[in-house]
Amino acid sequence: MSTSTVSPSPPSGVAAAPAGTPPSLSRGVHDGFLGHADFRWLKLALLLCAASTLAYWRHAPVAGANGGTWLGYTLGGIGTALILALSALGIRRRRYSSRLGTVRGWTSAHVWLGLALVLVGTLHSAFEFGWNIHTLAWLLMLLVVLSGLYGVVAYSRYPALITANRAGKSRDQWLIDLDEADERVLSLASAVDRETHLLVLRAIEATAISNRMRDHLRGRAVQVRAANGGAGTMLERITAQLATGRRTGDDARRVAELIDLLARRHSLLTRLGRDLAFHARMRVWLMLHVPMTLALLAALTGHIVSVFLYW
Amino acid sequence: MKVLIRHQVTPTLRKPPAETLFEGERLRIGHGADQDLVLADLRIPATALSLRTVTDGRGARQVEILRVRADGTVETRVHAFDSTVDCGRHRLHLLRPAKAVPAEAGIDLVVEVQELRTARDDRARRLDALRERLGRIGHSRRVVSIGLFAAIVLISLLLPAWLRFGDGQPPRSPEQLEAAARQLSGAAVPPEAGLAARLVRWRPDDRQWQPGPSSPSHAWFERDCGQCHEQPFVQVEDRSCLRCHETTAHHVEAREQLDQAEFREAHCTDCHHEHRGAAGMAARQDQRCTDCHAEPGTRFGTAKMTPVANFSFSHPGFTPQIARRVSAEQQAADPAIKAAFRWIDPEALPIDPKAPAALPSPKVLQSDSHLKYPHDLHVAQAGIKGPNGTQVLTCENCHEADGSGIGFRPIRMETHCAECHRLDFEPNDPSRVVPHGNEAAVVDTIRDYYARVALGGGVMAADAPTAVQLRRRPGEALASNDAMAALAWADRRSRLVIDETFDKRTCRYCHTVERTPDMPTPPRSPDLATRGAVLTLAPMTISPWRIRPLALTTQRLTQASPFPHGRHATDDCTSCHAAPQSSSGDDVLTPPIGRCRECHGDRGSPARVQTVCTDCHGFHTAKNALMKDRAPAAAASSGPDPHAAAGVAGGAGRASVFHR
Repeated sequence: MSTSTVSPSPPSGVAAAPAGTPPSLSRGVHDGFLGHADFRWLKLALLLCAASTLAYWRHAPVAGANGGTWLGYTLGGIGTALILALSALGIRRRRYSSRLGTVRGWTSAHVWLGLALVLVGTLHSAFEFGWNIHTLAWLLMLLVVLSGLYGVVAYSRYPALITANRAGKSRDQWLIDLDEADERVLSLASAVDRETHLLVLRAIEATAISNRMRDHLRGRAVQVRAANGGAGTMLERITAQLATGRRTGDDARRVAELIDLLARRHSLLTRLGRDLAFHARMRVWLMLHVPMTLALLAALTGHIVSVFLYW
Repeated sequence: MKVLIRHQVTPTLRKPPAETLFEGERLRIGHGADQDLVLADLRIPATALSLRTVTDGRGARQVEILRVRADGTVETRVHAFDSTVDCGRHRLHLLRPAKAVPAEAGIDLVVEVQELRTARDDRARRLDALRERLGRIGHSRRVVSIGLFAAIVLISLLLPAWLRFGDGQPPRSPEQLEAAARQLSGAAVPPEAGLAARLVRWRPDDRQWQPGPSSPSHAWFERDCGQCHEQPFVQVEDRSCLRCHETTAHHVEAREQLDQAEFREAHCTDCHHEHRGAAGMAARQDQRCTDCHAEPGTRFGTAKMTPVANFSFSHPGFTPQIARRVSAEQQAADPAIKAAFRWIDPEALPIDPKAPAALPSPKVLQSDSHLKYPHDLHVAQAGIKGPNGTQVLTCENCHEADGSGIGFRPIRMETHCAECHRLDFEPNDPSRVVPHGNEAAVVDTIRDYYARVALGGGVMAADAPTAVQLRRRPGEALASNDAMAALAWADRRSRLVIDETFDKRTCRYCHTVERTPDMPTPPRSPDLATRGAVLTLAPMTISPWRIRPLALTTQRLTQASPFPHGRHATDDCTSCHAAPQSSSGDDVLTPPIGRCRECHGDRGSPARVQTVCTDCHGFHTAKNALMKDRAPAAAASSGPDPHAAAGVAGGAGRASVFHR
């Protein structure tokens, strides 16, 4: 698929679907994996939360609750196992041949158990926080889960918006369309006169797609550098300039066609900018989620080793 | 200017590969049809370049190129021969004519046109660049992930571990540990030290592994974890604590109890928890105590302890220490008994714990105090008669706080009693008093007084001999037989007054007075006697009366720590002590435990001050056993390295009987 180089990876639940089979749009990818196997993982996560809370509530260690009691070690062990298992989704979803459950099931477990992990990890800490490696691990865990929570929301919201915005074409198709429109505009403009051509050429050369995530998130992926102070869009200025001269016959027809084409190009750019913004907003959490997961694994290693090093 | 334009042969070239000759002022290049050299590329201006040959100041020929940019500006640049100029998807080679066309003359420049990319390739290139640009939005997750992972492992694990164990000798000597602690505590880095020195203090060391704040008492060396965490992956051992706390007493003394697993395998860290802030080190966990004391018989059958599972319901009643009079026969039978009383085992006569709130009747428990002191008369609300009229006394008149917040200053007869309880003995001379606290001195004082009175004469007493009654003239000496008669009278008189003072008027009023059996002979010091010396110069007066010593105590509940009276000063004394109802000095005024339970309860009890065992009871209370002596192996070893020996013994049994 050509989209793989341009667009971000599709949602994990879709990755397992055979190529060419789009996910069911009516049901929604999001609802699909969350309710996997009749909400099996939600039930398991709720059970885990209830059991942990009950145990923490009933547990009255002589030295007060802390991570070093038998319950503390148990919750810590469960939390570590959860973190490792949840991190393994990153491996599992790349192994298309694996038969260890479906990726849909894995993702469902990932989301629900990940949410339960917040409770398990916090009860393990017994609400003791400080400026240390242990709280760092807890914070990173929280960041990972929060970013993942955003991911769940993003995957429920943006795929539909992206699909609607693309109107049945792939992004690459839109890029090709844009380039073709550029060519036609240039060709038409050169037929009008050299000043018009230069004006259009300048507009095309001033059109740039930012490669900064921040611009994409703010919906400013497509930028037109204003050469003479930005008074209105380039399209408006070109239109104004083209409309001023007195034109007749073929020339007038060409100019009208050119303005029409420029407007079409502008809508193409708008659509492309929206697409890039949707994509950025849909995948920005992964920028945090994945690196923070690795950071969490490092901090977790430091936490466990240091606790037993200085037992 | 003559320019030879040569097109390189390419498959897509529209024009046939040919050479054309241009002659004019400037060669104009662009996609416009009117250009001298037409390049089929709409992405360059209609006139993109305009070039001519020029001669520079040194006479060298060069090519000047004007380039029209898309924004309408024109840029001028001078190129040397044999250089290239790119214009859209074409490249122009500016060749020196001598090289390119050696045969012909008059040609100033040869421009060779090369089509770098076809229009289709150019478009594919644009799209590819765009795709690549869009593919690299945001940071690389892989690079950032691996970078973060490595940074955290390095800063939070490897560096601290290296700084701690890098010298390869984690268990260091006490001297090294102390030096390290001093350095790390900041003593080595004065405040005016440079940035580098201060940065060293901020190095990523093992402080970041501390799970919580240290207790205030240990915070001074908290930066040197090795002080306590001596061996990696080994729990903190007692020897780390005992290195400083070496005189900490044990809980019990009996060897057979110390050898029980409960004590042998117990560790400091079972009760004292570090890195839990200010509260962690104080053992405030009743379960640690009740693990044994709830059912002491199961493990410590010989110790005769009352089971205590909690304070509110199962704590036994108080067993105040009381005194019992010892008869002369008992004293004679048992040479070990030296006093006229003995303190009774507190297990006797406990105050009924089932009587919860009301104060016990003072008659419930009595101790032979040998002091007649009716509290009720002294603190009566109506007051008590004194030399200056009726006085209302309060507890504080006699029981003055000693400033410790716990106890009171001793009650002294001279300070607290003597104003009313005067020690005069001769009604005609009320200013003369006997000293307090020494029977022999009382006897001496009275004898001396009457001898002086008799020898002085002028005594108006019917039984006195004439020599005593007669007034003396100044300087008159008494005849020896008269003197003998006077002294004989004085002696008779003294005996009467002594008996009266002790047994009737003064001493007996407050004390238990008893007549000594016989007039004893003056005591002789045994070692002096062997040397043949007789204590002729020592006071030879022996009192015929003896005051029974008082059996008073400041702490009746010997199994508990002294009661902090200061902290309870908000309540009236009489809310706990039934002094206004007590008519005897023998009454024990210790309140019952029910009085404590009115305000205090176990942890978690509602509407009560939450109290733990250690609020009233100490743990390290043994008088003759230290914590460091408890492990038999450690006590036996006295090698050159006690730490090593203790380490072997301490490390032997880490399994604790307590639930961790």
